[in-house]
Amino acid sequence: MCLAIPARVERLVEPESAVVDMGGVRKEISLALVDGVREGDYVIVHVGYALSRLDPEEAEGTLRLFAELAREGAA
Amino acid sequence: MAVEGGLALRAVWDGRAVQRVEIRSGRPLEASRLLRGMTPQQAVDTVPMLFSLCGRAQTVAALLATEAARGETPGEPALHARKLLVGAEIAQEYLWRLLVDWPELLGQQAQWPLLAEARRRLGEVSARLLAGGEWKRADGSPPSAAEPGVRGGYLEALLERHVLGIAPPAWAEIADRAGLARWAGGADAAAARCCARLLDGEGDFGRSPVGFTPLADEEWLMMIAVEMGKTPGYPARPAWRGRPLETGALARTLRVPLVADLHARSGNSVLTRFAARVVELVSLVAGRERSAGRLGALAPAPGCGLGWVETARGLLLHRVEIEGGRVLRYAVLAPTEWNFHPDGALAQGAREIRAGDPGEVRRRLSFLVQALDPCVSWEMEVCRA
Repeated sequence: MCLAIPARVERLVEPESAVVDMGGVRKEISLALVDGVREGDYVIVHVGYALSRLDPEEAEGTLRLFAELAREGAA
Repeated sequence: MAVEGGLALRAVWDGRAVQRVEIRSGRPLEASRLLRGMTPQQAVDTVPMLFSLCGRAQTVAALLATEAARGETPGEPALHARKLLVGAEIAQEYLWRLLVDWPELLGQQAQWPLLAEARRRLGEVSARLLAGGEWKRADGSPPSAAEPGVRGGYLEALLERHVLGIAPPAWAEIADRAGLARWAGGADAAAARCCARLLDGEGDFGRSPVGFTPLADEEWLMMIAVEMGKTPGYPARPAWRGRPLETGALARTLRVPLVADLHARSGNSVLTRFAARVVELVSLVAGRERSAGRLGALAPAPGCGLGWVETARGLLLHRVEIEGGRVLRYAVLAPTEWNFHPDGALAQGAREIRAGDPGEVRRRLSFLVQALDPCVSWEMEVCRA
């Protein structure tokens, strides 16, 4: 199923796309479905599209959960 | 951090037809491990942080499961608000398929601005419902203020102008393949243009003898809940009497006259699945008795709860065991696990693909993947037998 991993927006490329950092991997995504995204924001990405914006606290909480999951998976 | 998962499809092609499709899943089934040891409330709060695409449905399923495990029964106002939340999410998903994904696959114009506007409006409805709080409380008054959200003039106008090309109630009168062909040939709108191509042979494949998940059948759900509890790995590879099933819009609408006619003539083809999704979108917008967005809960044993939600992609199940006020076990069975089972509807339906070159294999397989709509990203390779 679909996990909601937050991606940090590194830079805006065109009005409707951006380069994001997803757990250390850089990826270009579309911003066609979300308004007003700025550099430094966190977004939820699905198949190359930002679905929604997250506030930084929420994003950090979620990233901590996924880090825990990744550690457990590696253990 | 490769925890987000995805599907890797490998089509084995003999130069004329696809012999088989091997499906490898890197889906993060064990994300629900994180919920162990939490209080039921913490678990319900954590679920939307973990699952993105159908976050509302996931949250509602978690809520239903934990309530059932504690012997609580939500009142009608809460259930009503949850159905509206899930309905708004399903409408967003269906509009994405019909305004963007299918047009792109068929070489037509994707309607991104329309989709963005629809998502914004439906997002506002959801935000109002969430802020109202009725969905979480077992009591409370009905969410009448937000009621027009999923229905309402905006979505009806969007469907009439850009999706169907005719008024939704008129579309709902279409009862057979001939009527569908008349509409698709005459209307100038996204779903009509796509449907015309699918009727013209492009959607006439993907059939399989795979059966369907039943709709709101408590006895059957109880048996699945038992399997989820006793068979390790069951949620990763679900089966019923040893066989996988197909879940989703088609499974839910087999009795609707149009879908029944298409199914009788061309089975569970790409076309039939496409039409089933349009049927459900029209029902959602018209506020009719509907199949998508149905939900409920069962308590298979004391301290154990199963929450079920009919989401855009099919049946979603959350099963929880609570002991001493904490989550002891938590399991999620997502619709993609049924449809993309190694021997499921995608794998079996793909054997109907006839193609003279690898590009055509890719194109056809993409149609079938889209018709079954996985909830994770996917990639494919074609190799020679």
